[in-house]
Parts: sequence; C-alpha cells; structure tokens
Amino acid sequence: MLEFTLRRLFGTVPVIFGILAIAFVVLYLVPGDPAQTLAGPRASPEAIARIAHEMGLDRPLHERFLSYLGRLAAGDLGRSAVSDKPVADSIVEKFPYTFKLTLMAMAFSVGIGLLAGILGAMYRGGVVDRLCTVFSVAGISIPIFLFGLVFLYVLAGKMKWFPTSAYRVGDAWWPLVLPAFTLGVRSAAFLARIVRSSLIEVLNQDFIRTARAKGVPPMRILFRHALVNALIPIITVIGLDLSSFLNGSVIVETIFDVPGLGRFAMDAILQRDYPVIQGVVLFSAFIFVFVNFLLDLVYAWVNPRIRDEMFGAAG
Amino acid sequence: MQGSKGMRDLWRHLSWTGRLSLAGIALLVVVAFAAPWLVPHDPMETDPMRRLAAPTATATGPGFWLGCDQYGQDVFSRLVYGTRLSLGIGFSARTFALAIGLVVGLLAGYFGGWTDWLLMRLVDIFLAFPSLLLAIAISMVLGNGLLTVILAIGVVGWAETARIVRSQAMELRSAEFVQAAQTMGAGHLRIILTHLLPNCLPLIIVIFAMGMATAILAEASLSFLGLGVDPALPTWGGMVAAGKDYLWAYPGLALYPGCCIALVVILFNVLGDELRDVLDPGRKGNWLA
Repeated sequence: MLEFTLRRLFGTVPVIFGILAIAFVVLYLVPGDPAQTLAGPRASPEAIARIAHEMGLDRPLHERFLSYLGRLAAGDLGRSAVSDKPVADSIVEKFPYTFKLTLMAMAFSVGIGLLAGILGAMYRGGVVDRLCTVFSVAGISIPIFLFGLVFLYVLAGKMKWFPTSAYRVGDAWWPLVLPAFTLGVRSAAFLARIVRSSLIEVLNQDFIRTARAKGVPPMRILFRHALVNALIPIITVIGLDLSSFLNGSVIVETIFDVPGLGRFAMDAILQRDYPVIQGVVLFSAFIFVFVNFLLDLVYAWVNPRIRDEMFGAAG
Repeated sequence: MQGSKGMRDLWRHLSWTGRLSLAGIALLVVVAFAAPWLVPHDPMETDPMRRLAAPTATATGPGFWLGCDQYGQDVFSRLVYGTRLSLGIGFSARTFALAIGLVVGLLAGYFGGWTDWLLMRLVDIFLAFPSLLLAIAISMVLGNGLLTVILAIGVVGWAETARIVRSQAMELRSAEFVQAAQTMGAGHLRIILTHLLPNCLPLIIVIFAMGMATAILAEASLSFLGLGVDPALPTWGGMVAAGKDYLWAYPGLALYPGCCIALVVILFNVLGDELRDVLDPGRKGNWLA
C-alpha cells in the first residue's frame, strides 16, 4: 500500500508543476502593468521603475518563476489588488462555506443518484426506468443557473420554504440546503446513469444468476452482490464530479448569495482582481488533484484485483 | 461512408428519440441561418417606451410576442438570434477542441512511450483545472470577445477528446491491419491518416455531438457570469443574466432563454447517446460497419 501511495504521489508532481507554470504564465500575460497599477496613473516613470524593481518585475522570467514558487511554498498567494488583504487569508475564511456546500451537494448527489440508478436497473425498461432516464438527461442538460433561478423563484420566492439569500448563513445549515440541492442535481443525474448501466452489466453476469437460482433474496443480491461490484465506476464519477462542483459553486453561490469561494472568485472577476482570481484557480486545481489522489487510493482499496497486486508486490 | 446512403442508413438505425433530436437540431440550424428573415424586430433595437412591455399581438404589424426586456428589446427576436450565436459558438469551439484533441490523442496513442507520457501529463494538467475557472482565466488574458469565448471553451474541451481518441488509437495500433501496413513499409503519417483516423470516425462523431452540448452549456455559463461575448449581443446566457435581476416581477425574461439552452443541450445529449449506441462497433448491424 505504501509503495502504491508513493508511486501515485510521485505521479502528481509533474501535474502540479504544470498547473503552477500555467497559472504563472496566465498572470504574466494578463494585460496591464502591475507596477503601473500600484503606482497610480500619475506616477513618474522613475517611480514605476522603482516599484517594478521592488516587485522583482525587472528580473528574468525564470528567476521570477522560482521566486513565485518560493512564495507559494510559504503559503503566500499575494494580496488582493482591491482590498490589499492577503489572498490566502480570504481563501481560508471563505472556503468553509464552499466546503459545506459541496459536502451537502455530494450527499444529495449520491443519495438521489444511487436511488434513481438502482430503480432504473431494477425496473429496466419499465415506467420507473423511463422516468429515471428522463431525470438523468434533464439533469445533465439543463444549465445549473436555470435550476437555481427556478428553485429560487418557486421554492424560495413563491412557496417561501427556503430563504432567498444565504448571505448570513454563519454556522447554520438550513440556508445552504437549496443551493446544495441545485449544485447536486447535475452530478446526481450523471451518477444515476452510471449506476444504472454498471448495475445492469453486473446483474447480467453468471454469478448473479447462480445466486438467484440458489434462492438468495433479490434485495440481498442487489446490495450484497451487485452494488459492491458497481462501486468502482461510482467512485470514479464522484471524483470527476468534484470539478463540476467547483465550477458550479461559482454560479450557485452567485445566485443564492453564499459567501463562499465561488462568490469570492466572481466578485474578483468583476473587479478584475487578478491575484485573487489566480489564487482561487490554483487552490481549486490543487483540491482537484488532491481529492483525485485520495480517490485513487480508495479505488485501489475497493478493487480487490489491484489490492491483491499491491499486497503481492509488497509481500 | 457513401454520402446520402450513409445518412439514410443512419436514420434507419436511430430510434424515435434519436430521430426526433436529429430533426430538432436540423430545425434549429435552419433557424440559426434564417434568423434575419424570421425575426419580427431588430434584436438590438432599444426603445425606452417599450421597457419591460407585456407581450402584444397587434393587428397592424408584428407584435412583441414574448414582450420586451429592460431596454425595450423584443425578447422573441433576441431568442431567435440567440440560436445563431449559441450554435455558432458551440460549433466553432468544438471544432477547435476536436482538432487539438485529435492530433494529441492520435500521436500519443500511436507512438506510445515518452510521447504518450508527456502528452498525457499535459492532458492531466488541463483536466485538473475546473473548466469554468480555466475558461474565465483565459478570457481574462485575451479580453472579452467572440474569438476569446471560442478559444476558452475549446481549450477546456480538447483534453477530454485527446484522452478518448488516445485509447482508441492505442487499441488500433496493435490491430492486425495496422501491423500489416507497418510491415509493408508504410510511414507513420500514412498509417495515422489512412488507418487510424478513419477508424476513429464513429468515435469522433459521438464526441462531437456530446461536446456540442457541453460547449453550448459552457458558453451559456460564461455569458451568464458576464464573461461571454459583448452583453449587448443576444446570447441566451446573457439574456438569463440580464433577466435574473427582474426575476420576481418578470420571470419570463430569464426563463425563456434558459429553456432554450436546456432544449438545445437536451437535443444534443440525446442524439449523442443514440449515436453512441448506433455506432458501437460491438453492436450487430451498426451503421458504418
């Protein structure tokens, strides 16, 4: 297990390096001179040159990249061009909301996705299956902001079941339910489709027929035999969905006024606050790489073939 | 493929949902091309007198069938023109993504080894960025504009295409007919172009249909966030964004264009699914076989 973990960890190094390089290049290419911006519109060329020198902007590119890496390693993501607050501090402050939102969205996604997928596979070709298919096509196709606006209008506005803004959410969970549901619909739809197709594949295999012939109760077959074998594609999908959660949080948090990372990024975009945007993009990319690394370990642990191989190699 | 016969064959293999979505997409393409002749009003013509006007259907001259937005622009005309932008941007972005993804995927899958390792790490890097945030970063560098949006969506889409094409190319590389061609002294380029590429065609068609759905969604999301093309242009995502400020009093302003996006994306997703079933090499009597 240790060897596998290390090998996998080593594999993320070039990816992380590439992410950093791209983020650096993007910041480098962004129009506008940071020294000019900081010095103000009426600064003399000498003053601009001095600030550029202080910021290290006159040094060669590779040196700047190295010092950039050094600062990142120290946890320094720069300062906001608008509020002058350290970007890292803001991320630490906003991230818990997005984390909570994502966690709830994932719970919705797995709950609904599993249920719809299992129902679809059990009643294959029937009315229930058709309904589940319609749900999954609609969930994948309908833009998340349309879901958000419809839920906001109907459930929060007309029915008044939910608050229309989650801005003062604090430690509460309730205001995040509707945003989380909105965020989870799309991946629930994906999951339903994957669960259905992988369950159907497993249910067609010989060992299931044997179990049936033996008289194992259908529910036991489903949970004890079929679902366990369908677990691997499900884990894969959850890992891929993380990216859609991070994307969606920008939109959902804007619609529902959640004071999280997505909203933070959106505000920064509107104000052209490049250091903040870069910080959030980097942070999200790292989270993605990290969670996928963890999922790879889970994946290996769940899949007996890989697990045996690992222990075989170790022992 | 033999032109019209191939198309008729495809039609025969599709189920009714597939036919419906194909017909729907064809209709939308017609709408996109014929937009200038279909609209009752200029979609960019503002008029403060018509601000947020209710739908009208007058006997004299064309009415405002879906009312007007906050600038007095005819909502229906804007929806019709939105088809053009949505499909046009989606198609261009997808073509761009496909071109890069195809080259990278074929090279990585065919040559393997170091080429494969290097190109696939590049793919990993691009897949690690949340796609929307990457598109946002790109549009920041290049500034707002039509070309920027197309590039931003294309850059986000190529990596996935490359990954799928690569696995197909890897499988084909060890196929007997490719090895036979190699023994007969065919060059790499020749093998890639005459053996690998045509055999990837069914896959490419499926990827393209599915990718259109993703690209249209991405364009709508960018426009919704105000990072798409010029907000004055009638894009569906932009209309939803503008309409959401009037959600409580005039929900239609946001919901009509929202439904248009949903409809188009559903059509492409259903068609993509159908094509995948029909083009599946394992299936009996598949199209192109």
